[in-house]
Amino acid sequence: MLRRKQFWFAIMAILPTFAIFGWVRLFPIIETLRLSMHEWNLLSKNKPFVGFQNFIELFGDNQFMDALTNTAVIAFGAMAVTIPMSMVLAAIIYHRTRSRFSGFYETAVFIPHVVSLVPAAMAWKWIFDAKLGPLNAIIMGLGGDALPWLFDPVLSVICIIFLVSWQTLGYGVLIYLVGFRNLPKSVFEAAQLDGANGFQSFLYMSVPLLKPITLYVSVVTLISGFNVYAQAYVLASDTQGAPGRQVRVLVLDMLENSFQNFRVGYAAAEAVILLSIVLLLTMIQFGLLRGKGGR
Amino acid sequence: MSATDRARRTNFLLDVTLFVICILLLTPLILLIANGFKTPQEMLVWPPTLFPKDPTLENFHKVFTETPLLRWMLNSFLFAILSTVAIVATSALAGYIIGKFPFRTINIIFILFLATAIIPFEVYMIPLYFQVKALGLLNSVGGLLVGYLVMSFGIFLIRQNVIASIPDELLEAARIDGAGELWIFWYVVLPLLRGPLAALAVLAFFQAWTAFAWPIIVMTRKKSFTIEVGLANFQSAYTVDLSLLSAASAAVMVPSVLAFVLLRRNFVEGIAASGMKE
Amino acid sequence: MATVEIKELHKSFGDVEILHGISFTIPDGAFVALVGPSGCGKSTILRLIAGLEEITSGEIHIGDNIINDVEPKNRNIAMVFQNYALYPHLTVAQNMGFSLKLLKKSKAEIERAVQHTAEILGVNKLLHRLPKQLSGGQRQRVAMGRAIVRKPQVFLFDEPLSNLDAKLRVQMRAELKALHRRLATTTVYVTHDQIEAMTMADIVVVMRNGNVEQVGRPLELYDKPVNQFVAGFIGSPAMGFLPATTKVGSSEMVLSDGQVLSKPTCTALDGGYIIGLRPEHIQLGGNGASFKATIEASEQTGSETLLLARLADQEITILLRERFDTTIGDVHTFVIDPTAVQVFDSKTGARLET
Repeated sequence: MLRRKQFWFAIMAILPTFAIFGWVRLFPIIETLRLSMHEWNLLSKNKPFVGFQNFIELFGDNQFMDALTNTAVIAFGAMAVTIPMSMVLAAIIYHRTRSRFSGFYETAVFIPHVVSLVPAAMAWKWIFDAKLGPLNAIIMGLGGDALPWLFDPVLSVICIIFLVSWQTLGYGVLIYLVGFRNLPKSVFEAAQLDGANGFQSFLYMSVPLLKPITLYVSVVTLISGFNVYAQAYVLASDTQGAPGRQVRVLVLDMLENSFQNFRVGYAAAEAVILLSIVLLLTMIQFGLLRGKGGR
Repeated sequence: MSATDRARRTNFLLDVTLFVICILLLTPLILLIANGFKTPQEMLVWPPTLFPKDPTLENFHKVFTETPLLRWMLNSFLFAILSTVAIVATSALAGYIIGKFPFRTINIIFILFLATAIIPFEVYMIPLYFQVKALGLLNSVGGLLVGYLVMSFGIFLIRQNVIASIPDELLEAARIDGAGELWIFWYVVLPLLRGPLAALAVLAFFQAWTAFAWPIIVMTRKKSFTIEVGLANFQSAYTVDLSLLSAASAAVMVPSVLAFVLLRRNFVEGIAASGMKE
Repeated sequence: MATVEIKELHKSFGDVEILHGISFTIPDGAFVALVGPSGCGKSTILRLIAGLEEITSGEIHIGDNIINDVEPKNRNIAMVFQNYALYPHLTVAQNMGFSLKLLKKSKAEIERAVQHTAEILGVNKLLHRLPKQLSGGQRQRVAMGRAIVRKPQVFLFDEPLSNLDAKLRVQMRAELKALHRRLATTTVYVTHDQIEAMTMADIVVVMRNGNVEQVGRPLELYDKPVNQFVAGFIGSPAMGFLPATTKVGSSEMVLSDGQVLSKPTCTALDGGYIIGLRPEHIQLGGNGASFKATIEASEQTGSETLLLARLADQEITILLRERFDTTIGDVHTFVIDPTAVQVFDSKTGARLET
């Protein structure tokens, strides 16, 4: 009797949340999957089924492949920079936990993550500015040549990687700090007695023991890297001033296809590809984690 | 050199290194704020100056009186507050139910939440856009809210906390005493969730405040922009006046940084919890 | 020569002083046990010898060298931690070989040393396993193997058997003793279990609240405890204490209930004292000082009887090496050899020679 009452309460209580969830999450996801196999130009009522045609066309589409490449480079690049730097930084900050500056370090490192995307991008946009920015000023002061940071196809991607890493560093440091705090202290004392110095302890003990965290941070930064949009929008305006066109990223390409080229089904197919990438990365993470005897 | 002296010297070197790194990390933001105080002419000087020679408040004045910045801030703020309330409310209730009422139907619902949790918003926001459009909610805070009413991570966070820190016996005792389920939720469960709910609130607010892709497609009229969108379009819409741009960015940035410094503990708790969900 | 000398060792954590001037010497090759209740500072001394904590004042010598400022890895010592502290991500072989790897020894050399040590400890079939795949006893051996492989001049053990079940503990005690006999390395062994200390050590150091109470051979501590604390700490079940009074030159100790225990010539003066009775010295019949006590509880183990009795308003324990049937409330007469009765100054707790 009590159980039935509880059951109905549970159902009733979770219904609103589930209803909202169904409306704003489940339905759109299913719609995306469905639309990806249709053709729709926003105006007509006609949405013919085209099977996998959208996908086939995407892989022949230069702009899409461009976007995919750029996005992948940015995502992996940012991860490659962020992981080692945040691990080392977290190690040093952790070592100085008892310093009276530890609060300052943690706060300072995390502020770039907290500053919202656009103001941060604006800050860097000026720094990278070829004619007015301090980066070129410093380079020239040291005797080098000014570079067109934001307008060269390769350099602008590097700039975005830099910006994204700068923002993600704090997050990585935070998670690694939690990891360091949970490492068994006696293992490090044993290593110290066995003769390991600080660096060796870090290399042979900390790094392997932190593998689960490294895995987690990698996947999270990769996934958010694939979703990059605001940074490219602000930093990478092309020579006509159109935002984000200098470095095409997936999300930008997707929105363009949907709202400017009026090909919603096509855009949905892009979304599905993005989804597949994310799912793949997540499954790899789970697989690798379980392979180590799991948790 | 004695062991203590050696340790002290290493620590000193590490402190210096960390200091330098932290200052370097914050430099772009410091420069941004400094730029806000420069005159437009000074911004065009080469090589660029670090700090304004002739600091002026003109830019900030212009930003607040001649641009819709204030209105944009209001939009963002309203959106963020409402989203936070919605997310905290739905996460608290759903997390509690999933955590303490393990019926099969509820578990299925949980698996659905779980399965869709990793799917980024950008993937399904286009169909959602059309829904919002059909409801006539474009260019309104309501439309914005539609995408930010629930947060899967919030539901998990509360579920974890409910399982870990609310003993079943507490609920049983209340039930035996004749308390109704809603009463139990409001007076027994919620007070115990104060910490995680605060952390979640901070996270939800931050998520809404910094949202970009969704607001940019939902809000097409200048007046309804959120801060992020407004700032991003500043350059094409308003001016190539870099000092004005910097002032606007600085004006947007400073409140969130201040809020972070004050609420650091909650923030850190929330983010660290997201790491532990694995 | 690996003698360990502790000279006037002080250790403070912040404003709190934990060790108040500890001094004792450990001869080369000896097995020394540091015993005492929790918080007495024994683990702290071990960590100071290892170099894991900094010395506040005083000196530690190993052999002819002062090692106060020497880094832990250069002190040539090895430690076995209470929770073993095995490297969880390395195999047994890698765990044991880690220190050699840091010394840049060749792979062949490392393998040889690890194999040899593993055979001594009986873990050679486990070399490819990870710590989490081992039982408690196996982990303990691997921890010891890791320490032995380095051929240190001093071994440090921090309560290594406390995480094992009773039977395994007894077995490991014997094995550790045999290992020490074989390797003949100076060993400092911290434990809160006085039985371990008594059965394994050549020399026992009893500590309390950051001070050394007594240093000596196990039987010395048993027969001639320097004060009431040591007398009550060493020996199980613990010695019973009773207040008593006596007069100069008298050979009688008068208990508070008027009973009299005779003692051979007591050099004590008039006044009150504490006498100590070891449970195993009290018997049912025979010659000696006799007294009556009321039984409050009785436990039979099959070969012995453990009695809790009330004597002169104090509770004492009596251990009889025979079966004895009795009921609660019975009053019996017991005897004890007068030479086995210990007398302590009631103010200082010091034992008085008789």
